[in-house]
Amino acid sequence: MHIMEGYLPLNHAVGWTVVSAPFVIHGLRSISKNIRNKPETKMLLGVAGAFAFVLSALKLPSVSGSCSHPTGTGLGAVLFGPTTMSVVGLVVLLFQALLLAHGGLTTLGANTFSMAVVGPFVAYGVYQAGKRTGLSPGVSIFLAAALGNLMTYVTTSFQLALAFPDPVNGFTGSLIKFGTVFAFTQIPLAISEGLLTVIVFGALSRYSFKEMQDLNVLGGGCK
Amino acid sequence: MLLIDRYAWANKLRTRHPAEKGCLALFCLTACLLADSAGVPLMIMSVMTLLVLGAGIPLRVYGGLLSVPAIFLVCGVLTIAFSVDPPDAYLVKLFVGSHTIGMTEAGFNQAAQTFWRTLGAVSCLYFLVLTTPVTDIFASLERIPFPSLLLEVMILVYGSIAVLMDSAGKIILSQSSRLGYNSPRSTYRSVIWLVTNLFLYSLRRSAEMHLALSSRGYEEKIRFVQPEKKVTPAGMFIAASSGLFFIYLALQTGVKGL
Repeated sequence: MHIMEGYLPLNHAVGWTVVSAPFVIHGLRSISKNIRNKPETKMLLGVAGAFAFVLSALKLPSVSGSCSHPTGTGLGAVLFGPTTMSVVGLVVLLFQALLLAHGGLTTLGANTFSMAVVGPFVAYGVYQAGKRTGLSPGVSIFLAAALGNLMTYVTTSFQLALAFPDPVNGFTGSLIKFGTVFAFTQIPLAISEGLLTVIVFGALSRYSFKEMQDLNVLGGGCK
Repeated sequence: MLLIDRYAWANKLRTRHPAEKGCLALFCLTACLLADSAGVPLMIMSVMTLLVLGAGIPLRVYGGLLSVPAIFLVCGVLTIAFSVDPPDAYLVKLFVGSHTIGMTEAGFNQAAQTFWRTLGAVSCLYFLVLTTPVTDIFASLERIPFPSLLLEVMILVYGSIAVLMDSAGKIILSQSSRLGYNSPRSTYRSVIWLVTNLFLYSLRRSAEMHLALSSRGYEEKIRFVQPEKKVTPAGMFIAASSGLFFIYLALQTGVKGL
């Protein structure tokens, strides 16, 4: 869920940019370290970013009734690891603003934090936890993608509530309001994204085992 | 090709230096965020609309783009405006079970302010993206201190978007011609195959691209020949001064609380 251009007041727009910056800088550092050993990594990131962008640009016939497009955050986080995803996510969000008019430049910081930082970190954490506790790969990937998507939406609601506290019920009231309004579209989306990721991941590991193993260079979790 | 990209490459303001357009758009964007009344955003929106239409972008396209974030805007503004169980001073109210949902004056003001600010800001973004190709923006970013790795990834992403869009379009076309999107069940299956195949194709393409570029001596930076563009002093002056004027106006009305 993108916060649109101009929706956040100036101090919030600047604030969220400052909050996201360290994650992106850390991601850039870890990528440049990777590139030194494996130069093809850079090309892979470029194409992966384009892939995520194209998924969001396709006007797919709706699956759940609302306009639904997979975000690929969960898939990316599991394959590439969350630090890399913060950079790829930022670039994808920028192109979504520049080429699709989704999101915006002033809200880029806030959107990066919810979609390229919180989402991937949650997805990756859930996937790792699932693997350690011995859940089946399918279940851990479903939970990773669905919860990553869900936490992105919770973070966005939090950001909106912080920017627009309710005049009567304050921050909590506002959080409940935004959470409820966007829940109608976001919960079905999270579930369908989870299911889609499981099946795509399954097909990928069945048909392209070698490529999937090669992705390990990025420090992702797929083993 | 993406709609915005197409107009960005073919409009009458295409040949203006990106610094002029970027300066105007970013200053006006700042002015919209600073404004706390309808006046400044509305003025900015009219200026931007005139510029966009003057650049030869059809009203239909511009209007269509403005409706993209409309759902978010309407949901978002209504959510700000209404509160659950407001005290007596409300303008409108609804009863939902044992609760009242009402609009207080403070809620209404905050929602109105957000609505105008967002409209103004969106028009600035659209002016920039509809008149400036992404490669011009890259060229400008190269001049300012900007992480070179990030810029490089951006260039690579932009380069691959067109190719992947094309492949995705072809996959969707052939799936639809086989009734792949005929029922919810087959749609779901088609989407899965589309995503999987597109991903595998992307992986293969990245490996091929790496080979092709390395064999041409690619190491750190893809170099492009940029068409020579000159900043016209008059254009730059008009862009900067009108941008600063709007910021001044926004600050003035902001202070007086008009």
